[in-house]
Amino acid sequence: MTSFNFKSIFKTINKKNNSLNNQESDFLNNFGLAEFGSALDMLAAAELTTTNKLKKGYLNHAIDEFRHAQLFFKHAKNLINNSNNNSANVSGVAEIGERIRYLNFIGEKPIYSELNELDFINFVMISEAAAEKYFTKLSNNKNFNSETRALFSLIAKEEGHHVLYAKKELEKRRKSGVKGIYKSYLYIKWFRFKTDLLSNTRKIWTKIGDLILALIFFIFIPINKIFFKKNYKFNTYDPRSMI
Amino acid sequence: MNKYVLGISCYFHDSSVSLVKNGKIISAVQEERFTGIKGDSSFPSRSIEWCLNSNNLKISDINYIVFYEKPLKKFLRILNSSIEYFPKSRSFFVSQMKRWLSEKIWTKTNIVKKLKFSSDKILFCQHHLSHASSIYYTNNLSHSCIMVNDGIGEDQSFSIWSGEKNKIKLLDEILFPKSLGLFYSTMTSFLGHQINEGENKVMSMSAYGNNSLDNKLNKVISISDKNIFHQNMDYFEYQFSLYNNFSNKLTNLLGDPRTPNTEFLNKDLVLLSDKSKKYANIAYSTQKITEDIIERQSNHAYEIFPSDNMCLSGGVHLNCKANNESFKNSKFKNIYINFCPSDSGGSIGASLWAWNNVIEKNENILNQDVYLGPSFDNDFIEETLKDLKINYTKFNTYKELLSDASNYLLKNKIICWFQGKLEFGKRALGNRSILARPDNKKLSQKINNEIKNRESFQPFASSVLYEKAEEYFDIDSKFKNSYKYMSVVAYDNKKNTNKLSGVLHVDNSCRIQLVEETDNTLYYNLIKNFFHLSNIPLLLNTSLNLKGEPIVDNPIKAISTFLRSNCDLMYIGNFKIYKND
Repeated sequence: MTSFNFKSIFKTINKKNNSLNNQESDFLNNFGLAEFGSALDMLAAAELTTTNKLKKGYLNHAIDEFRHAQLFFKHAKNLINNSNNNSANVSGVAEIGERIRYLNFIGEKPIYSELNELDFINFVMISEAAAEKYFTKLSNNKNFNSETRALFSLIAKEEGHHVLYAKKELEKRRKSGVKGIYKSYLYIKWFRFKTDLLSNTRKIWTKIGDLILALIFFIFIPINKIFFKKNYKFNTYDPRSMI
Repeated sequence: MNKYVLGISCYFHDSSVSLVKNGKIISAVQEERFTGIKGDSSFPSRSIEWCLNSNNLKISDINYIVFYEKPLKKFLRILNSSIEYFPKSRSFFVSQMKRWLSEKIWTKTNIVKKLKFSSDKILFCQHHLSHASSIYYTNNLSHSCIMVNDGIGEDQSFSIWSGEKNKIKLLDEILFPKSLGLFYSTMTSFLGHQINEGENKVMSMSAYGNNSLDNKLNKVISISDKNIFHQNMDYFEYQFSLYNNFSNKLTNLLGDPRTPNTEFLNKDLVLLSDKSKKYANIAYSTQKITEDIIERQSNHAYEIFPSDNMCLSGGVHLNCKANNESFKNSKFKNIYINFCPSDSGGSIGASLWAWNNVIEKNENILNQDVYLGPSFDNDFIEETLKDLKINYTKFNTYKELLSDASNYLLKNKIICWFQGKLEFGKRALGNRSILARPDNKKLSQKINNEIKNRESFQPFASSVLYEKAEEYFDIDSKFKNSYKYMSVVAYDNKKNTNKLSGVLHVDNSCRIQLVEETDNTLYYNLIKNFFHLSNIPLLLNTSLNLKGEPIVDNPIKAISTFLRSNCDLMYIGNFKIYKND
């Protein structure tokens, strides 16, 4: 299952023109983290669903996503080991967690608990279809070496299977007379569009925020450096105070 | 009437929650266990929900909520760093302000809004005081010296406290940017590992090295008579950078840093290349200087507050090799390191501090139970197995279960063990574990390479029957309170080396957990059953999780882990499941 922000990784990676460089392993690691986050979403669905028949399906889906994540991580590791890269670009474990959340929009609650069962199945179908499309496109990108393209192709194929499972489940429901399937489909389309839009807006605000903060930094910090000395010692202790 | 305190630690790394009822910790859990994101730093909503629901409480039943540090004090330290290191601190300032202004600075408001809790019942403990409380108040000691050593709290990186008659007082401190913890983290990053995750790998790598780079490392950090240690900040950038911990000067001194994920050992577990040798030597010197500095800190602590007891907390004391080396010749007679020295223990410390200082002034209670998280009854587990269409064998008695499991262990099977309540802290202490016999090197290599996908140089811990430990390891009575939490290494005493081949590190050390029947009856009896069959009173024990994932909390996560791993069997509650099912 792809997350909303997955799209931006695809956009960036499609621009690349060297088939073997440090960027490529970073991209692959990001794909791995995104797949990992999706696995967590599916695992949470398996834990929370009250539809017993879906429990196993969600669990199997989660296992597939975990496997995809490992394939990406492993391939990224191989790329690093086969190159003369000397960079030690190491993130802290908390930053990796933040990245997983960012790539997948994992909030305080699992996405399953924000949607109803029907919406969630539609969500899976739509997200998987988008992933299949993007990975297929990447698998035809000659900038990547044959191994990387084969990996994209394999993942695309498996995401396609997930689309079929979700479609099958929706079809079963349609036949048993469940109403509102198309409405739910439209709702998820809107939901994804809205979140995508929010994400892009957030990026713009982040850039504006960076500019403002840089301005503050260059104006106020030097003034403080010249006129004030480190003087934040507190002798009294108030348990209710944040300071 | 019952009184409740809820402790929260979050927004840095390892978010967690603990719930204290009348002075006793009744529930505690890390947020990562629910979200599946290792080291999760987010607001621990799911943990709070579980703590309240599992005890049939509403938020209105809670008397106080305590946050584990003083956010604004930390914020001021960050501002101060930005000023001091202007203009190099620009990107540090921008990234930090974004984090702080969007979330961290609003900690009190967030708690009020998210939990609908009254703001005048929210307390803030200090970071190092939370650490000190987490160890002092869990051991119920009347007189003890306390030492806290971590990367950074609000502005302290090291502190010495006195614990006397239930009161903790600050005696001495070292302030940011000088920090032994951040030095170790910097070297962790230099050696290609994740900060706050890979420090134990540096410890493991160090056993392959020698002292040939000691002189070079001494230029970076060294023992000092005046201020315990001297740290040359020119080699570091963590004081004004979020992403680069070390400066070019360190690279000029030590050469290129190690690229993450590159091989270190060959298939025969021998150093792969000259580069590997260099990195092993850097790890050795890093570990050695850390041990020397901690020993110096300990001596200083004894000078200013002599006591029979020493309580240790803070992330640096997750270094079980340093804990042994630095304190084996110490004047303190009893060394206490418990199950939560890292920041996740901040919630426990903060809630116990509030109980002992704000609510009840003189009622400390012994709090040594580590099994404080979710548990699942056999009916729930059976229902889950049925829903997932997984074939299983049901045992009617625990005796049958233990006999079956120990027989399979004897037959060189690797088993997943999911029983009772989830452990709190970094270590799997026998309720969420992957277990194997300890005398088979091939099995431990299989667990490293095919199951946990760890680096081949990482050794395994072992769980040992308390009464048999001295037949296998050099046991130091000083650490008797710490061995049960896997906080200290012990060395092979050469009496039964052949039975330890799967758990001994290259330097003959092993991180041991001494298990007493009163601590964990089922686990103790499993080891005992295995002992009766094999004449080996210990098991290889590693946490029930795969690479990059936290220890599992519930049956679905456990089954997912089992199905993705190359483990042979899983014992979950009263049930056994197989791989080919």
